[in-house]
Amino acid sequence: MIVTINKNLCCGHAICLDVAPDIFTLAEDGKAELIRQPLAADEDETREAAQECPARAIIIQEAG
Amino acid sequence: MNAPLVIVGASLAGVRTIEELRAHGFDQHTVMIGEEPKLPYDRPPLSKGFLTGEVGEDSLILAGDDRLAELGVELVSGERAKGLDLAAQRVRLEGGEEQPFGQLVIATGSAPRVAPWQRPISGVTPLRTVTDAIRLRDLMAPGRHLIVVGGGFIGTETAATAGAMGLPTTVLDADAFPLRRAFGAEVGDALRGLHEHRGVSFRGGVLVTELLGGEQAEGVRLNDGTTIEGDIVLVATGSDPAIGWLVGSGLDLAQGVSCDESGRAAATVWAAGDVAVHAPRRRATAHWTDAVESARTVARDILRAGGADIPAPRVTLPYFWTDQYEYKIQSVGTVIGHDECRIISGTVASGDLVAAYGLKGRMVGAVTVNRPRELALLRRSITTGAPIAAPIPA
Repeated sequence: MIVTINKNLCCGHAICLDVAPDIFTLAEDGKAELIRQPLAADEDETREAAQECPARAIIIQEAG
Repeated sequence: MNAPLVIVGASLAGVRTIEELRAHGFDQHTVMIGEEPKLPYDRPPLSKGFLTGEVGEDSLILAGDDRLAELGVELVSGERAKGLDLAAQRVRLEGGEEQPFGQLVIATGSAPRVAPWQRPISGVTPLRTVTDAIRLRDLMAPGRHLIVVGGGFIGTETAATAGAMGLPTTVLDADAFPLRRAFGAEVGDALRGLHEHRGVSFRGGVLVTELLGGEQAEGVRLNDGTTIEGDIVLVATGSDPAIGWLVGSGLDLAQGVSCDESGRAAATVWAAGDVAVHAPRRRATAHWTDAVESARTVARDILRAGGADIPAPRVTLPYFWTDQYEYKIQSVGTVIGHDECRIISGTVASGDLVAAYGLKGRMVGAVTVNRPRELALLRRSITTGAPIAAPIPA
């Protein structure tokens, strides 16, 4: 799994920080930022963060 | 072939349900029935960027033809469900056809409440569908005067959009403050000030008794006898779950489709989104995140009913937001029913409010304005039941 954040779409709902705190943080501009790429154990909550993002700013590319 | 999964409602909840199902390997044929002749679309921009023209119809789409094909969804659009035969496991369509189902997901959302004084004349519109939004957008021409009846989310967001566009706008509400039921009196009062500062007038504590005008709206009369002139009247007095088509089906319809915590309403029937009323709640809630969460809950219960070993999704705190002018106002947890409101910093008007709400010494809710980072911290504090005296952990 590879995750990216579309900064143009992100508008700072900050739900991803709550769902996957090891993966997402907020940058100074109030927009989400990646801490690191998810490991296998983080994939469920990373997917959940993407689903819950009202701005659909978290893009996940599944392997394969 | 087994009867398909049928989703009634080409909605956010409907799309998110099938997305979650497919993510977990659900391989049954799926039919989605949508009343409007449209692809499923997202609604939050309809009261904001869509009215100004910044957001086009295409960018509202939740799942286009390619995505629907990828999801294995057969979309039947422009077709209204008019009845449900539970015993025969069929949905009756207005066109006369019957759609059999193996499992049914009801995701028909809600419909704007029709005001007793409302008449279908030019200039009067609700705001729920993209068709409503196009009508309103076309009405919002220079020189017009907008009357917004109802100071809830749709009413105040539209007023903010219109105000920013320079359209003379008046918001009317039965309550003294806009959005009091969502954000409480403190923030509601500040929001009223914010609108008035931007030239949008707010009149609280009034009821509309009459719509003025013949073929074209000319204004409204209020219960205190005064009249307000305006040639656009947005009726934003709330919405009700769209359950008319389910009357007589045998489903329990109190203030929506009654279902258990997993969203199940009957052995093979689930409800997701605005239309669903879950056991612990008294009525349906209609926020974007509620629809997303209920869709995921329903999808997982459908998977479990099919024998999959999958846990229910994590329970998240209630969350909603509103964008008005350059302010993003966010709320997490329970803001209503608190016994303490602690302003940690800032004000609504200066666009930097951080407020925590407590009940019996524990933090239960928070509202922030343009402070997403603080909101994230407060969300954590609410989850852990932090004391209201120290709402933000060091």
